[in-house]
Amino acid sequence: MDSQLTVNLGKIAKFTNASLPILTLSFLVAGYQYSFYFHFLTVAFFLLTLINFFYRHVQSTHSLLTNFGLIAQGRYLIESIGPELRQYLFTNDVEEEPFNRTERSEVYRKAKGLDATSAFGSQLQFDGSEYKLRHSLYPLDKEALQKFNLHFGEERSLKTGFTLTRPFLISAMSYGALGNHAVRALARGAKKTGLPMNTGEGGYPKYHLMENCDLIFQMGTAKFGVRHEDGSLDPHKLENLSKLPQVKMIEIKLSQGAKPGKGGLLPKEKITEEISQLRGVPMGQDVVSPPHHLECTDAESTVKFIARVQEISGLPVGIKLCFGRESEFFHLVEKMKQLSIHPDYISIDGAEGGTGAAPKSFMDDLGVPLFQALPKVHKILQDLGLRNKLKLLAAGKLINAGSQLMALSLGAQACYTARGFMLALGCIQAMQCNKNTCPVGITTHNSHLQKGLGIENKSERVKNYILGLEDDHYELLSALGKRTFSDLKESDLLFPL
Amino acid sequence: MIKSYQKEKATMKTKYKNLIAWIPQLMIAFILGGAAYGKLSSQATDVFIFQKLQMEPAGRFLIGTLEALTVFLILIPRLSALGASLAIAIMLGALLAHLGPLGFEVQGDGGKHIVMLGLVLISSLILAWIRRSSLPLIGRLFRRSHLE
Ligand SMILES: Cc1cc2nc3c(=O)[nH]c(=O)nc-3n(C[C@H](O)[C@H](O)[C@H](O)COP(=O)(O)O)c2cc1C
Repeated sequence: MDSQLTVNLGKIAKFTNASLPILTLSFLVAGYQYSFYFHFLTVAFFLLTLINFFYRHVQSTHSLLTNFGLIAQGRYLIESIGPELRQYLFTNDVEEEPFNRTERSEVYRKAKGLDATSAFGSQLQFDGSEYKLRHSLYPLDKEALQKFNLHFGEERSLKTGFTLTRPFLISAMSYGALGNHAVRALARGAKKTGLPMNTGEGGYPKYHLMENCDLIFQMGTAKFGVRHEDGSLDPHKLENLSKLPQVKMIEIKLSQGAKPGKGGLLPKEKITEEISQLRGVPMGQDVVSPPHHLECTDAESTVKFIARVQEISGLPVGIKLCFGRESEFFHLVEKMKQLSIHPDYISIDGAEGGTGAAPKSFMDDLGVPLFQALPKVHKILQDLGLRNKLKLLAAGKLINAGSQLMALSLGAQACYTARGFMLALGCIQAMQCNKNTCPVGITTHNSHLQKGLGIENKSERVKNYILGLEDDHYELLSALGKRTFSDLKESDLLFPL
Repeated sequence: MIKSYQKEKATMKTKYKNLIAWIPQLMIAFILGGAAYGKLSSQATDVFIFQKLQMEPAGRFLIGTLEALTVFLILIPRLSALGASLAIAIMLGALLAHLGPLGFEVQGDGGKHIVMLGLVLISSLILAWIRRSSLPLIGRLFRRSHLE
């Protein structure tokens, strides 16, 4: 089979290594014999020969360079532009993760307010490996549909309750993970449409407040913005924050799908002086939030902590978690029932969720994916009789109306999405959120890179995305033949084989 | 605690390095700047040299431009490693000229050109060492992993 066309890179490398000094000598002779101009080549090849010698006989960190010399640089060079090449040229429209090109461009089109129809047919495989929604033989007229409404806090008859009017919200992304332009563009888009936005665990929501939108203040495990120095809750700070008219709800983050069981991780590259102030942490070192709240070590302490936050804030209080061990969740809910304390909502974050920075194995190997977790959670709550005591939210790659409706069918009452909104802001999935080099200026504090993210301009895109999603929701709902979102049931889904 | 202390030490070290680097940087810029000016403004000595090398006038302007470019690169800290490499290459070329048709003394200058050449060559080697981690082709081998 060894045809003559086989390229033997080893031989080419040997040939190159031998030719470099020979060429140098030849150019040296030619430079003196024919024209001094040859010495440009003499010098260049002399330096290459030196470098090659260094690669092969001096350095020892890169085996490829030791064994093959200069030629091996080609590999590093081409490898370094691999991600771009793959995204631009070689991956097909439905094969990238986390979001493939068709999924991304659907969001882009919505965000630009363009016609969102596609041509010819679906590009997905219809091999029974996907969830599908079951439509009705008798679709409803749009006029017959009931507007979405969800009252947080009604179970406790809170006067300070909050009403959500769309089946989705902007999920937690901290100022810190996002730059200030991105935060303000999102917040302004939220304000324009009246959609609430989760602040993420970035501490005092300075930039969110500038845009005056409805906020869900998130308290991460490090309680940035509302902490004592030791990381425990500072009730006065929380009380003051809850009094801000923009802050509508408080969310206690117990865990997150992309890194369940691990606290936040803010790389030192991204800690500016301001961030260290808003959060109350030192500069020049990675900030690692603890894996759990100081106050929450078992079911009882967790439930009591929820009650404490409810009491101090006077607002609806939710918890966010990634579903892990079933028995633990069962005991947690049991304890809620026993103590007659329940959060106003539980948000389930699927293991497929995103993050600004997390270790790879946490992203890949830990936690239960959303569509497996949701039915379990729904059932445990039902079995223990708590399902009507609180709201259930869901997140995990729910960036379009179809997938959000699937989550609603599985028991959720509204959906969170983070990356959907990043895409709306113009995210190109460059996968550099942890490096402060985001090329479109979303997850960076580099003012140069943020220049490309015009706040007003992008807030329009956020607004368009929100309105487009809402439209899609009602279109699909009528096709499903359902009058309200709460009519969706598990039987409206086709499960994978 | 330990981490931030090490970090402080590391930044101190780079600050110190950046300061030291200005000595060879200014030296090279000063000498090469003069050389570039001489060539580009067609000074008699330079014309004479390039006649000897049979590169008059194109070669003189080419080298003069390269020298000017080198000065420019050398003075921008982020690019000065590239400048140092270019300076080394130009000086090697000059050395070849002196070893060949030019000889060691140019118009009875008592070896002034050679001394200048040596000064620039040594300075750019020192500079290249100081900034070795940003040298083209071999820089990454000197860079320590950021995960460390
Ligand atoms: C850049 C970025 C930053 C995030 N920051 C937070 C955070 O501060 N707190 C949190 O609970 N979740 C955070 N998340 C997770 C999201 O809120 C969300 O739970 C997860 O990404 C799933 O939603 P998605 O698949 O629609 O993005 C972040 C996600 C991203 C992509």
